[in-house]
Amino acid sequence: MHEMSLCYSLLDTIAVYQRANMDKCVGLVHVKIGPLSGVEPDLLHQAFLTCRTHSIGDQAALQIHTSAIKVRCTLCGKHSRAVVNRIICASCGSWQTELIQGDEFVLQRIEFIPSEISTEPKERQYVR
Amino acid sequence: MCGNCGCETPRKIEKPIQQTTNVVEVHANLKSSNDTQAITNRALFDAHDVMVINLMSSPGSGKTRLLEETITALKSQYNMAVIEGDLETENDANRIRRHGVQAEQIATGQGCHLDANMVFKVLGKFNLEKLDVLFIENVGNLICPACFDLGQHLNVILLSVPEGDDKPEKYPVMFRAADVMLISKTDYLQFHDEFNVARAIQSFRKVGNNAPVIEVSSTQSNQLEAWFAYFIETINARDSRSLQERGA
Repeated sequence: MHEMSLCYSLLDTIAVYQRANMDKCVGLVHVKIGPLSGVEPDLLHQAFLTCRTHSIGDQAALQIHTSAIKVRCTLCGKHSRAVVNRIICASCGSWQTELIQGDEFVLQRIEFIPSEISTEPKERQYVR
Repeated sequence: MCGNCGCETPRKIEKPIQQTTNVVEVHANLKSSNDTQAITNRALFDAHDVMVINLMSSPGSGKTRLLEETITALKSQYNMAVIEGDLETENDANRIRRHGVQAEQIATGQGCHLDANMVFKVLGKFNLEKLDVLFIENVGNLICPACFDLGQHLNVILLSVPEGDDKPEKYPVMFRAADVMLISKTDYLQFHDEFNVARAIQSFRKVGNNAPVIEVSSTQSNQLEAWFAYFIETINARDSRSLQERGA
């Protein structure tokens, strides 16, 4: 399960932005994951719940946005969607394709919240 | 809802915190810390003219045996060394050392892959100035190693005959990362009617990979020649590029 080490990378990146918002707490973290990134959303979420306590705190929640795979065919030039184990052109069926989208693992944005509301019940503090 | 496995429990839908006050747009690649180290590693390899080859596959698909045969056949032409990644033991490193080649073992414990930092930490044990080729035998695993750039120049992925010919479709992220796929243990083809080489190649193409496919068998004579030819050709092509860049 490499999601744990990737989660530490996520928390390290968040910590950089938290330094500029010392008077606030991390509320909601938006992450985008492509099907070809090699990152399993559910496992990343579990890792986040385990790791957040001693870094950004229990009030922090993770919202994962998944993206679709999009390719450009190098033969017919058309753009199309693909699925993870059939990365072929939907138009002409060629496997000679270039990936346009679908392998990203990106921290999109962080929502900071005032410190005084950071004591909400834990079960309301994350999003799936 | 069976009442036994917990499937009757409704999945909890959590609500986001409403009182946000400050949204910071980031858009940062979350693999960047590993990728940055990998770029450093690659620059170090390039500065010393060392070609680095990352071998990835399932456990038991023949990575170490392929290395042993490659070293035996080509060590008079190239100075080679090996980084071995395994969860435990120095068994594979010892197998390589018997051929008179330096091998350093990285024992990852329960870690399922090598990353760029692990590789960098062990590089101090090698005299890169004297090396032509450094092999990295990654942890046997078709999932995690594909996510971590180590600074290598070439990803070699082995698919052994006993594993089945549909592995590329089952593990698309790994097989998409291949610069060359070796179908290994082809001597088993006579016992495995269900493995079809054409189907394995088709499965590899379905994940959008246009890379060459080479059939190899480390136990039969002359069944590694195509791999050796590819290996030599790749090194020569890289050397030519390096010379051109220096000339420019």
